[in-house]
Amino acid sequence: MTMLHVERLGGLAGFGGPRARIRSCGCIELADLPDAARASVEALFRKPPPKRRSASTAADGFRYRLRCEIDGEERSIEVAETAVPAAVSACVHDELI
Amino acid sequence: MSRPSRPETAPCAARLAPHRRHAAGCGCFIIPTRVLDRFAQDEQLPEAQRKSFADAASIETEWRKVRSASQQLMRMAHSVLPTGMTALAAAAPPVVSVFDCRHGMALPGTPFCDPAHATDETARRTFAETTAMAEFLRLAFNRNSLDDAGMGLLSSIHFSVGYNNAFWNGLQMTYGDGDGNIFIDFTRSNDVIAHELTHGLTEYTAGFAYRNQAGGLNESVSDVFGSMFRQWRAGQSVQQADWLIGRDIMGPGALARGYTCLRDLANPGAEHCLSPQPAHFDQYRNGMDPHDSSGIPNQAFYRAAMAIGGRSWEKTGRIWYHALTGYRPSPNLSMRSFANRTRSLARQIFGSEPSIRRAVDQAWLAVGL
Repeated sequence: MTMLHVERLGGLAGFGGPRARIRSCGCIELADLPDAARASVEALFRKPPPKRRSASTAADGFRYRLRCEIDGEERSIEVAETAVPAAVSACVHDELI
Repeated sequence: MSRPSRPETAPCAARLAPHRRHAAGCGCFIIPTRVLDRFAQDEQLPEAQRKSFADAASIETEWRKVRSASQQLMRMAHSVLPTGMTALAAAAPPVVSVFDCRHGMALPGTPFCDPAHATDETARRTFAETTAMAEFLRLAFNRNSLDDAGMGLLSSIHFSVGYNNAFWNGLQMTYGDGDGNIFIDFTRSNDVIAHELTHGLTEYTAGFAYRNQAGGLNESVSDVFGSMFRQWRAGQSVQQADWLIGRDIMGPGALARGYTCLRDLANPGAEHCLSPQPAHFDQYRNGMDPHDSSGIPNQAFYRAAMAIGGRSWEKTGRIWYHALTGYRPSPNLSMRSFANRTRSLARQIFGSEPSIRRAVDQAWLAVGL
């Protein structure tokens, strides 16, 4: 089983910033995702968007940091909200810290 | 203070003028083109469905090209057309339209035929504040909408479920309802509406990128114009203003923890901010989120406005407006270059008032620029 760790970043409120008092995290088993969503996530890890394009294309749009272990190695990518399947973005929970 | 005249009610998509219809009726969905392409090639799906996905992917790609070309054309027109011709193009006031996402994520959603008189309070508020922002740009800066040519202003409300955000996607504003605990309806703070609209203004003028120093400037300009608009609506002087961003969208859970705003231009690092920011350039690092680094120019604007006094949009705002709109697009402008623009504009516009030049200079020096 491979756990996908998800963190929502940015947005108008600056989620997950170094000083921010708001964050949004969650995790989900890759195996529990619908087939299409799992395929999308695997494709993102196989060919992550170039760093410059990984930032959200929308001003104040959310970005997502996705982290999981692939072939024994932990990998992390950052992508715009529009690239993240709804089943993945639904697993995060906004909280005050 | 002048108030917006009778707003022009947005027509339904079917009744829009042809040159504006593409925005209202566009097939701009938030599903990435890559996903649409994959569904289009999925042989397990019926032929008709695959064709729909292929059509949607094609529309999305073409729409992005149109958007990019439209912005380039507008910038080119402003640089080559004689003043009289651009003035003619800018004569019509912007059409303000509001769409209902009905808690889905497809944009723009379903149009409100008469948002000014809709039963939906969020629709009425979005229409009123967006119309007022257009009036603010016209009266304070002699500008007709975001592109200075009467561009229609399109907003979508009730986006997704419990969505804690608002954004500008290059074509339109989108507002979530908040989760009811940390945030409430994102249209409740008129500075948030002006903040999102100002992202459009920036896109049509300076074109600041959304990363590094230019990203911080991009976010800061949105906060600055958001705060100025809020002050203009309330008829406040710089002394009376609260300088907060997002005060009216904070939900009960956030307020109970002592968080009264997203950001504070007067004190970017304050404990009452949900996202405290650095206020000095020595804390700036490349790669920072623009919502973090914007604290530096935010603090400079606040200091300049307080030293100059009066109403923020009349003198300080005028300088910042021309620093944003009076130059060729500069996607990677540094904060120091922006600061120097405002120094030079203070001298050009208010040459007979050296105190203004000194105030601007001191404000930037105080934040290390």
